[in-house]
Amino acid sequence: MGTGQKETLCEMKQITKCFDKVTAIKDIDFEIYAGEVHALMGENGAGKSTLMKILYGYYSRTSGDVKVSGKEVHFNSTHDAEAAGIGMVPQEIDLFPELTVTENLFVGRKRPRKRWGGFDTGKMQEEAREVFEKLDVNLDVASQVKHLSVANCQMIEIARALIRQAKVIIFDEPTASLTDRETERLFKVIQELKEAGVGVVYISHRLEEIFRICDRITVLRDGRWVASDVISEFSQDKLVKLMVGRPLSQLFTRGVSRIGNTVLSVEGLSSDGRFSDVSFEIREGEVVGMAGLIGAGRSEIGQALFGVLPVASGVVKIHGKEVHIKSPEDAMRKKIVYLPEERRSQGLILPMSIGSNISLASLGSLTRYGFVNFKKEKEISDRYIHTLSIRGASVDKPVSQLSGGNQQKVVVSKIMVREPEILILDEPTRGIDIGAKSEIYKLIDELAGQGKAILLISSELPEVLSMSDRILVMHEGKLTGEFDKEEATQEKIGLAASGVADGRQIDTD
Amino acid sequence: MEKKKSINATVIRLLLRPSTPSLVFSIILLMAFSAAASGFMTFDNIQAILVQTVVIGIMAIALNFVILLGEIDISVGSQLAVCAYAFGYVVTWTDSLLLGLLAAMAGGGILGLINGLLVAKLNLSSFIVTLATQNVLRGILLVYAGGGAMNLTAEHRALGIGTFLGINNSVYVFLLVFAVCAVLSRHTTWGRDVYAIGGNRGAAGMAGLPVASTYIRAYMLLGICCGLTGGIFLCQIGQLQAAIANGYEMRVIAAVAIGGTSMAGGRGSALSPLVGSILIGIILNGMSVMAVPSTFESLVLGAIILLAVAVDAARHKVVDKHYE
Repeated sequence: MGTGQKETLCEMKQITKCFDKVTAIKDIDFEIYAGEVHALMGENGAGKSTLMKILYGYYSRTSGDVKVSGKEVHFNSTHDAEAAGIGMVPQEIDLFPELTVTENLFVGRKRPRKRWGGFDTGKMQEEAREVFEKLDVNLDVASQVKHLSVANCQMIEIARALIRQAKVIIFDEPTASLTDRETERLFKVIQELKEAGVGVVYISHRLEEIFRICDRITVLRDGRWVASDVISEFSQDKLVKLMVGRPLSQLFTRGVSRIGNTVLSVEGLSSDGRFSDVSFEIREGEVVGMAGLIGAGRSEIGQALFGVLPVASGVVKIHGKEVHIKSPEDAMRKKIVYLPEERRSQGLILPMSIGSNISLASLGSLTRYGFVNFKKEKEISDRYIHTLSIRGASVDKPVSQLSGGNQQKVVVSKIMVREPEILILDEPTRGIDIGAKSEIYKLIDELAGQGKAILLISSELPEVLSMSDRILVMHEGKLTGEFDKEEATQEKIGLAASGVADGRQIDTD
Repeated sequence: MEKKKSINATVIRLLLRPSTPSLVFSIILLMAFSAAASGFMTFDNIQAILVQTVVIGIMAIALNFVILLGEIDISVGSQLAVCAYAFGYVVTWTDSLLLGLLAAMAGGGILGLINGLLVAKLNLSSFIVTLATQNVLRGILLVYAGGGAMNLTAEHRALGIGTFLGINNSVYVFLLVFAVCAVLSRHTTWGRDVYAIGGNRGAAGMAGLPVASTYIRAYMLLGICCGLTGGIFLCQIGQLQAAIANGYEMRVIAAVAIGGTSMAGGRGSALSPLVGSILIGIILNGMSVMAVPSTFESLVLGAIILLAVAVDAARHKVVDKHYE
């Protein structure tokens, strides 16, 4: 294997993790050697985070073995993992903003004390300074963390791991919110960690970074192990193919929908720090898929069109007429609806009944003299429960009792009651079972057949490919690809989504 | 077997109602007190309980909406005091009970609007905002009314001491306010929006509900009700001092919480504050009928609040288990 003489720091064998009845990852092997940077790659939902959360003691494994320094371990908490020498720099930095840098390093650790029993702040700061010196990072250890940049917060996370003598440090998409210069500094630190014999796990979607700093790559797909080898065995194309290369399972075959005039057109839309200069159109009866990685700014576009996020510049036109959408209320009046990505936090009022959730957004139209017409409300709720076959449900049951798929159908019903012309669907099938998925696909197909304009934001490439008439790809807040249904392939979209190739190919007509 | 199942379902459905525990508790207390003291279960005493409850009860019924929204208003006592003064002045000046009430309710509505605007538009913490207005309003009263007292002559106190069909007028007002608020809660878009926003503000916003105006209306309704109770309060007591209704906010909040409305918002019913405030009324009255020294009042009320939240937590466990 070429790394024969290197010490194996950590070994994961045949790891399987099930959540309830859903298997998230199955039989995955993964090992980390001292002094290597090991890239863990895969699409969103491939199981990278789950695998690493098991290693970091955040989840317990359903089956399989984990050995650290040759010893079998069972972590009950992240605390156990840290004690065994595993550190993690999470994607969402999780520090205590009101505490100082030094305090953050000592949270959950024994703090040195003075003779009279109080904390020895001087000694703590001394230790903190030493760690940052080792990292060659210049930081005021007495300042509050909330004043620091994301990049510096990352350095604190690294220091947290080092101060605990971590042997393995996991980086989950560390460069997602860093500038180029900060990224360079991070790479230098990673290089130093490597030279000090630390094993680094590096999760990232950015191919160029992987090829720059990593020594080995493991690829996961759909919760399974796909490939593991030294970096020289891979090319960018091969890697993308391995990541997305499942046979395009024909999830759904779209019916015929007649594509008509442009309904929604977006020109040069920008929102500070979220996305910039985005232009596209959606026509009657058209499903436009929007692919890209998490954080590429897709949801943000949807939310800006729905009046949730502010727009800095750009023009939005509906049926050729310029509109300014100030709030969701406003958007709905203009017949735009948005199906939020987070079902539980953004879509449902959990304490309320199924019926009340369905009629939530359109109660105004169900009132007479200000009083809610219960009969009409029940009729509408019943109708949607029937058409979307929301199972196990009567209108007055709490919505919290339903399964994820059925809950999603309630949220879909809620926006359908408004009789929209433009639908923005943000990850409409996330976290729901195959049955509910295909029902939602059927609905999308029907809606397109009725001439609605649909923007389908999805991280699942097969879904985007089988459902869309046209596909837009985003990377870091910019449109980097536009493909017709016929010419789109997983590879092309994957490359555009990683920002490798400018896949923009304009229609010929 | 069949029968057992249906009984279970009925029990569960009852347990699902947030005000059930305090209702059961009220009934138990009523029985206990009437067994212990012969003077308790009389028409006059039951009426006395209701009359005593009116002021706290009406404010609780309105505050219920604010709490359902997941917010709080601790300035209700001060609002009541300010409105009571407004009522007293206008009634004395114009000789009209109706004009006095209108003035008090309009004044309360404005106070509520101010609270509502600060909370909804500036996104300030409702606890801090109303803590501030509580002190500001009380301060204004202390400065302007000073140590003097205001008296209301008996002919102007119809709302507090007058009766209709043998029942105190204020009790009718109490029940009317409850009926109106119950209808608002159950049958209007606004009432439903209150539950939705309190249940999940983010999702409510995403569904295009008018979040800010729902807040403002809830605070205004509360202000108007404080104005109304200001009038009733003065009619009942007949005399005002700048320090009146001090500390009432805690009793009003307690009434809502004991009745079963969740302090986190989104869960509760229009019945909660009614049952909660009457329960408090029963306890206070029962204690005085049984000649318990009034020094025990605080102790007993506090214990009851703890008991209420404990029972509510137990209720939730049973309900959750049922749905697992």
